[in-house]
Amino acid sequence: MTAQFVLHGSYMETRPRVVPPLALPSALGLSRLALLPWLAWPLCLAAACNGAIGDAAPAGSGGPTPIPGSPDYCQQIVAEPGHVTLRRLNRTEYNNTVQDLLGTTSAPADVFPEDDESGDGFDNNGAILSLGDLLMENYDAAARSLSAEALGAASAARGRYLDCDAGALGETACARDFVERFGLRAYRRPLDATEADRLVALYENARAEGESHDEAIALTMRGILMSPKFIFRVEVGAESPDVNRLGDYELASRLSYFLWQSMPDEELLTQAGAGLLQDEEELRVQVDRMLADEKSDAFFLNFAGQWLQLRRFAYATPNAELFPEFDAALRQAMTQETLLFVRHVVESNAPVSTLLRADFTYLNERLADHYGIAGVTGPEFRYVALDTADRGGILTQGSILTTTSHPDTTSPVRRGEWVLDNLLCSPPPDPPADVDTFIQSEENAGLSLRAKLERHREDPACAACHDLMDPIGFGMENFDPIGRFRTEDRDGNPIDSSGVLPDETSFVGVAELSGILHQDERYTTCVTEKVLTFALGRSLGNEDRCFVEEIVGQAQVRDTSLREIVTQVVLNEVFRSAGGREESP
Amino acid sequence: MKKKSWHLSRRLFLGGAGATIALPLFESMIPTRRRVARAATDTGVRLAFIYVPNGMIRTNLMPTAVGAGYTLPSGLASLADLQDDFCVLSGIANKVGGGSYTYPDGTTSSDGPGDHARDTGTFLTAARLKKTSGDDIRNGISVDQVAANALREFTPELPSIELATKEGSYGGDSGYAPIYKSNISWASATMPMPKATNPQSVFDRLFAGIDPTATAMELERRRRLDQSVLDYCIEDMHDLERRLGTRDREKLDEYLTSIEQLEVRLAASGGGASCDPGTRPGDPSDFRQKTDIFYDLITMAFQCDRTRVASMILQKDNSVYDFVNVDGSNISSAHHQISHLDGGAADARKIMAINEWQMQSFGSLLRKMQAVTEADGATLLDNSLILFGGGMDATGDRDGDLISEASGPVHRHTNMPLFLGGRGGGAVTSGRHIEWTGAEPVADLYISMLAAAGVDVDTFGVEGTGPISQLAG
Repeated sequence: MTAQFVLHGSYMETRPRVVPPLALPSALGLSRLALLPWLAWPLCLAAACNGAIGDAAPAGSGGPTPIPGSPDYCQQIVAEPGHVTLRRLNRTEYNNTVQDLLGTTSAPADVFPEDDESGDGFDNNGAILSLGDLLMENYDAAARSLSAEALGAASAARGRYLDCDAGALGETACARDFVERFGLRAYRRPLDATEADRLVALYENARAEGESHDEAIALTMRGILMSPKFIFRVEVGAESPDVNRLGDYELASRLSYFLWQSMPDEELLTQAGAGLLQDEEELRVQVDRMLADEKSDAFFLNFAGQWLQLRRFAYATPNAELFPEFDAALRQAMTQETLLFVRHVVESNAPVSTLLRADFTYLNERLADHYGIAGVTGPEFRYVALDTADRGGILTQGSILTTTSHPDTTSPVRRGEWVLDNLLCSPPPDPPADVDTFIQSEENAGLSLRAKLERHREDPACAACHDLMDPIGFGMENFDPIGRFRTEDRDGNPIDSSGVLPDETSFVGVAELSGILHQDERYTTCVTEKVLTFALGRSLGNEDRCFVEEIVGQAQVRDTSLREIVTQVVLNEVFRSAGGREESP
Repeated sequence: MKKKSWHLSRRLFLGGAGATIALPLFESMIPTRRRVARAATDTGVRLAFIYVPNGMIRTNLMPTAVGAGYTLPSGLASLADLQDDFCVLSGIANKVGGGSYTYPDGTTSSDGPGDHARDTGTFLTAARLKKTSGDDIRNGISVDQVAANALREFTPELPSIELATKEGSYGGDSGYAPIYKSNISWASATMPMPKATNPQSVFDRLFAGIDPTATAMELERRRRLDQSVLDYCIEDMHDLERRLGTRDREKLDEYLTSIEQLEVRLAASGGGASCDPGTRPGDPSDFRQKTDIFYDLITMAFQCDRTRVASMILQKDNSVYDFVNVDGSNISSAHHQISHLDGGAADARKIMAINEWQMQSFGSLLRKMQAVTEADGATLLDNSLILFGGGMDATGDRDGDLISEASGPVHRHTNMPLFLGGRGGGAVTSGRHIEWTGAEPVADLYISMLAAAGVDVDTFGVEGTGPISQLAG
């Protein structure tokens, strides 16, 4: 379960002009692809970036091997939900978890080493997140300070877990009471008798070593916070009859780490304990409740923030001489706009296409001034109705427009690539090795960026991919490198925001472009793919395409809102399964 | 709580054979540390690896003459006082960094674009990266970790340190997962070493002192309590081990390995630093100030024998750091962007100015180490080897005025920009410009650096088959 898949679609299926079908693969140094029918090559080229073709070895006896990516692939196979590699809490999840668990306001994971992100762009991938000596030292230090704080006289944790009357019941009985109550929440499931005994023994050993009752409780808490059962999200599957199904408590954790990036709350634990989370209506109720809770801010910050690359926006460096107005406050405002906008789309049950085409956004005065929108005063963000086709939707938001620009100029190529990759999940193939990507040569001096790129595309080897990317980027050319609307570039050349897609569809400007994109069948599928990847914490494999199709199909029965996609992800077998667990030796 | 004895010996197994587990192809690489009679004053050789991203333009960094007494090129002018203390290395290649390569066994790779991912990912591993944008990553063990595994007996609390000046991912690269581009130090094929980015945390980790008011008996009692926590964790881990599959157990293995290391660390705590580390540093936001503090910390860590191996990422590949005013003018351009020299001579000048700053920074580290006199009377620099540089020769061919070495595209993995500071306890005759012809594998250089530290390996990475020539002089 490793390779990403790439769905075919209107652009990819369209034969590019100029390039003879068999010459192109070899021009790109991908000679083995020449063996495939030429109609399939655009798909294969895209797949070549991801290693999808030939990676899968689907089950099946005799007959032609189902080809991942082919239209009837999902009819030919029985897709198996994959297993999520044992996943440690990432920094965000660790902080949120200890805050919910202990009522602390501290954020110990802020000093933990950075979590690596997977190729999908998310930092919650179990196979990618590793442990190491430094991180373990950090866990140790965090467990010491958290347990010391929790035993403080007025701490929230004391009230939650340590209200047992040791004088009346005895200290060991109170230790057991603590172990069972705290353990249930820290391990996100009830402890079994062996585990509880083991922890009580840890407590008793500390008492025998001369620690006070409180000190021994703190030490026991340290043990729990250092245990792999706390640090990792353990998914062993239901005991019986179907080990492929997640256990009730495991499902509660999947839900809570998906929508809150934190541990399950009391209600989820209660519902899990009562076996109610296996009920689809109950799952719907929980998803709605969880999205309504302010803890779902974490979902928008981490899912949308990573999908739309807002984290990378934090490192974007517009040229300080050309754009002196781009400062920390503006960067912060742009990030906030996108997060609030996505949140609104989810909360209002708006169709997922609203992300691309909307007649509203969220602005404060600073950002409104930057965009040239009048009537917004003060630092607070608020819903702003837009009365122009020039703005509306994520392709017109400063965060994304700046991230996809060079420090000094816009980059139609990067913008087009961003759309193909993040909104259509159809990343263009890599440029061939040794290709000259140099467009600033002297012979090009004085030409507009568009003219330079068009000249560049006279080379068939370049055109094959740039015909996919550049027109999309041209449609966004009315926005400068820091997201301001413009009608001419810095050299005074008038902006031409028209583009012709490989299937001959032509458009002018971002509103028409967004209109075309949101009707592309790949768009809803791609959003679903991103949500599912984040929800599972693993890269999607070929067979997951079939679950994605299922989720999209189910969502379309209702309203295809982003909220419904989230819900259908939760309801789908792939989310509720522990996956094919290998046998223990 | 009963003590499990089996897992104590396990560390030795993993420590010695980690490379084998990760890379079954390279079994001969299991490092052995030479047991030689050591004088009381023998301080051991320390190894540091400092990585420069986005390549360097060699034009102003390369002496025209080979050997000792060369005329300093303009880009090394700031190192005049140190000329006898480092070597300029020419003609070293890391072929696995390139897209196409024929391996010693005759198989050919054509991995296509992704030079930045390979630049970083293969820099210290010299292994071929599995090209994947998913989570099925694969690299090899890095040279610093081979050294750390073999030298851990000297500094069991801290076999190595891994530093980076900044956080932040710049995404993947042409089908390579971002993790390759963010990490030079790899404990195994699938596990990069976590990097510290905060100088204060690094200082605390190196020099955290003991409680001076506690008696030996009290310290011993605290150790027993700490151990009881770790024993509990290990028992919990065994519960899971029985119930989880193979891939999950790899993660549990990472857990156990690091718990055992913590065990060693806690058991040794109270030993204290044998020398005065000075005051706790700040955590400046300025990248260049932070770099200097990290150099102080590496120097003090070596001086106090807190660790013998260090690696540091100056910045990640594709870094868009803006070296404002690095050359007295306003560069105000993203480092990666200009490294492709699309802006011609103007960009080349900026990159060269950045490279000059990088070489100044190298000099600053060498001077810090030169200022420390060790028990054997030599300087810390004499007893160390500091590899500084990157995997890519960014010397372009698009601007004849500035770039004399007009050949090839800007991102080549041959003729790596590398500088070797120190004498490695006498293994290296410094003060020279050493030139190899025929694309000498960087993996062979690593074999020699390991040997200088008393760590013998026969092969390393894909290409390393034995020590590199010429280092001894």
